Amino acid sequence: MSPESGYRLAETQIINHFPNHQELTKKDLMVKNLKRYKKELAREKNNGGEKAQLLESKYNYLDFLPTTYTLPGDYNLFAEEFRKNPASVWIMKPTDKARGIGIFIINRLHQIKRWSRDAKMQWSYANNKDTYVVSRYVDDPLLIGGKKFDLRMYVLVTSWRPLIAYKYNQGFARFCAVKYTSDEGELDNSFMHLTNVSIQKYGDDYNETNGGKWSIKNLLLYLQATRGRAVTTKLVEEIDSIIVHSLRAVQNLMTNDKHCFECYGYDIIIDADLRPWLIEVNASPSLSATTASDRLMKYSLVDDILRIVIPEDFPESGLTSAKDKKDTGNFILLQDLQSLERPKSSTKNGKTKARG
Amino acid sequence: MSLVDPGTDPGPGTPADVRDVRAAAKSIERGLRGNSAYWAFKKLVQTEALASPAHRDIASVAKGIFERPGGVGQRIQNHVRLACRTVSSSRAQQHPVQWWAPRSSDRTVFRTDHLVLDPRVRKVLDAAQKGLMAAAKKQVARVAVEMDVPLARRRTRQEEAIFLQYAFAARPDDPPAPVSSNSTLPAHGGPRDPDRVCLYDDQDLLDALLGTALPAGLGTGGNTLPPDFSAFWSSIPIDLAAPPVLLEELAYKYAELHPRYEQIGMDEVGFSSESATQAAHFLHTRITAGEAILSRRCFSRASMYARQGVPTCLRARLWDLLLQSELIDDPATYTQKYCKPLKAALAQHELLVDHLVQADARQCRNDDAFFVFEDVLKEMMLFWIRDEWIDARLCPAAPAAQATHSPAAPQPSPPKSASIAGATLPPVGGAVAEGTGIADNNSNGNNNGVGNGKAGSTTTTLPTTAPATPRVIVKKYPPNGVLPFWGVSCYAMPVCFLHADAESAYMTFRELYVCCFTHLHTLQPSRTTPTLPHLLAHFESLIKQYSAPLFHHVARVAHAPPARLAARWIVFAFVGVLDVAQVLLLWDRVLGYGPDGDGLALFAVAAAALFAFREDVLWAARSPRDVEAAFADLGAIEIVPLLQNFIFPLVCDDNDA
Repeated sequence: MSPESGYRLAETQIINHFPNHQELTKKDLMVKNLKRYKKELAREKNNGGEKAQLLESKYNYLDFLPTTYTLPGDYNLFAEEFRKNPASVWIMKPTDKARGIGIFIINRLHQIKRWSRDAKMQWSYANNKDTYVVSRYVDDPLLIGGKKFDLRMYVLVTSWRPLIAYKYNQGFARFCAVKYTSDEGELDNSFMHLTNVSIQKYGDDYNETNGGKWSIKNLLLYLQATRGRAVTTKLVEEIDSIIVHSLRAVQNLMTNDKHCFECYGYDIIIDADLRPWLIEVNASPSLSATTASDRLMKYSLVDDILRIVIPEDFPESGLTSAKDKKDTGNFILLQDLQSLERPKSSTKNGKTKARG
Repeated sequence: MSLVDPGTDPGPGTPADVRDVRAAAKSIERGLRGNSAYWAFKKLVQTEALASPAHRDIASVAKGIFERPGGVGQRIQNHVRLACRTVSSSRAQQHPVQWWAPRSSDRTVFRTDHLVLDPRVRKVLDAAQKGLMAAAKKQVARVAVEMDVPLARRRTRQEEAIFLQYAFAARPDDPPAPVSSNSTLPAHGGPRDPDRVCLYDDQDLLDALLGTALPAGLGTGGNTLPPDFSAFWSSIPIDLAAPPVLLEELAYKYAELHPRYEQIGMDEVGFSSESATQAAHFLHTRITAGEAILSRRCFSRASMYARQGVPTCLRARLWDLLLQSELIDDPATYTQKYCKPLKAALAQHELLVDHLVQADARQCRNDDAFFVFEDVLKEMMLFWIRDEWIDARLCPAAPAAQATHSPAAPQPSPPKSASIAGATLPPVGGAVAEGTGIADNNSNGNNNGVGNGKAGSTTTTLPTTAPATPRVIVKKYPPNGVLPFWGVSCYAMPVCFLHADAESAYMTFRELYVCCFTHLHTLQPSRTTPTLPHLLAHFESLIKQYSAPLFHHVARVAHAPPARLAARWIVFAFVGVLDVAQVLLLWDRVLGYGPDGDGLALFAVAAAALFAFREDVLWAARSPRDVEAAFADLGAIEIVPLLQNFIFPLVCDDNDA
């Protein structure tokens, strides 16, 4: 549904996307918006903005995006950066593809040149619009059992202005099946580097029972025991910070529509120092289940989403078990978002209730 | 009354005993000289004596250091207590004089009278265990032939180098994990021996137990009931739990589990914003208290602490305080030093059992909590299978005999440590098999502590390998003296959640194994520690006390002997049954109450609590399948409230009202 399409939704219709979610979910746009947002925030802070300071105190983790350039536009900037750190490793991703399609890792500049030449020849759909982003590769990821993983977190946005967002507390970690090394020779082994389930399931070591998926609960249990409580808590707060800032970065660009809601899949990588990095945001996170516990989790995800987004006076809302609208299931309302919009806390409660 | 059998308690106080104690202390001191902690202590005394102005009075400086909270004295005390635990629990009868028997009153006394058995019953169980081990030994031979792999093989230098390089990388030729329609861990009815590599599994164990029978015309001690009746009333053919532990007794035994005390495992999670602050406060005070105990290294306080659960962030260290029986100065270096020879031995020799434990560890792929740790687990199990420390702990008499070169002569070792001595090795095509046994890698040089005071002279930690000399040393096979049963790696799985590296995880695992898990798959009764038959009898007795009609219904109407289900949970210490966080919470309590006594019995209590929890569903069950279904998904169970509900039923009801 695009804003110009002219379709209008009836009172009793709601839809699971915002019209221009690409601002957040297309890799190059997200990068652009975040860069701009950071500048704005810094400016506001220098001007002594109250909001910026409040944000600073609660969500103070802002450098969560690995250095990223858009290709071919930013090629010169990228080449300059690359020459500064010739040993660095970078990952190339098409801006508009998902599920790990078209992703590869480079550590030499000439690989890009060769790629741009080959790409034009081989891929029929490669036209001028087909841009790539190149990001600094997090090459010291946190390894558990010797394997690399990334996190999939779910975030539900029901309104952009004011921003009302919920974090789902049952994300999961997706593991590679092959032990991780930072060996150069293995850079093209996608079973080692790419955690996408859609790639991993073709590996020889893929197991249907576990699907390479580990619950966040287990991850936190492990991290608390092996790394300590303080750093684990900090990690969780920083992940919250990633979510809040990335949403605020696009808040004013999004078409706000009371008929719309959207569930985003956040991909986050944790490095060896327990620093989370935002990789990308997906507008249509996979809801298909690969394992039994995955199915349970996704059932409850959909259930909880419906419970939150369906208004009380909605026809046939009796179908969902939304007796108590305060019950958000496994979703946690990201606090302080409303108070940032309207400094007075009294309006915050009223607002939450009105929206549900 | 002490930990050890009252019959063997020396009752110290007589001059002869004092002399014994002095002599023993001397020999212990000599033994300690091989320990780096001993020298670290001496060095500390030296530096402090030199630094302090009154450095002439070395004795008082030493005393100060010794008695400092969390200092050397405390460490030695912990060490002696733990070393004694393993010794006394395995073979109390072999050590008539135990000067180190704890006489402390701070430890609740584990009631051992229900472990006293009629010698004839004991004999029957011993025989069952022997039979099981003999069958397992045959399996080893069969697997060796079928897989065409020798029992042990010296790797060539080249192979050794390759092994060291790629040791634990998942190799592409690994067969996929056994997958059945319901892929789970064995405790949950997972695939049983799909590759036919297992020596024996929990089913065999249970069959061996249920297959026991007393010789005709022999009633069990004091039991005058007709045999038909007792067979009807229990699936365990021999009467063990006499006198049984009463349901009401549990409330006294496990007093610290009472709902009036705050518990880790329920009270640290808040559900409303108000209770969340309360919970956070509780967790905070709990962590502070735990840190204090850790810094003082106080064993008895640590075990009291563990009874109310250990916060996740302290668990690894607190468990080590409760478990590490060696006198260790610096755990990190000790671990490294200890695992180095194990790794070297691993690289040098390929054992048949390596394949078995690796296949066993691969099962973790069938669980979505543990699959991450597959490689870690493999490494741990490979260490375990060749760690002679395990053998030395499980039968402390063995090292002494080993030092004087024991032939394959029948020695009264427990049948679990079946030594396949003098086994002839089938030749391997192309590979050079140097020596028929395992070369002498003296990896048990570290344990010259109290456990084997007689063998205290072996202090070398380096493996003295001599591949050139065709020295044939008859040792136990496998080196740790334990023929692995199918699913043994389940015990190691939750430990992976505590340590980031395999070595540290292994150090915790080996202690857990010898003081706790080994009893869970042992039929042979012990005088001091409940083993599987006792635990099952305990479970049955609790269920019958809880609701005899329920027991009858499940056993006779649904035709699913409760002991069969419970055995699976107990044998695997609830791994794969409960969620991993819950398993850890349960193990906290097990360690707190003594993993070789009341704590171990807690596994039986937990099994009974699960049964009681599913009572309503069980009443509706009409077939074994219904009963299975009642316990199909226990992943969401919270074990602490469950135990409380069972142990303190009245209190919990009051709260509800």
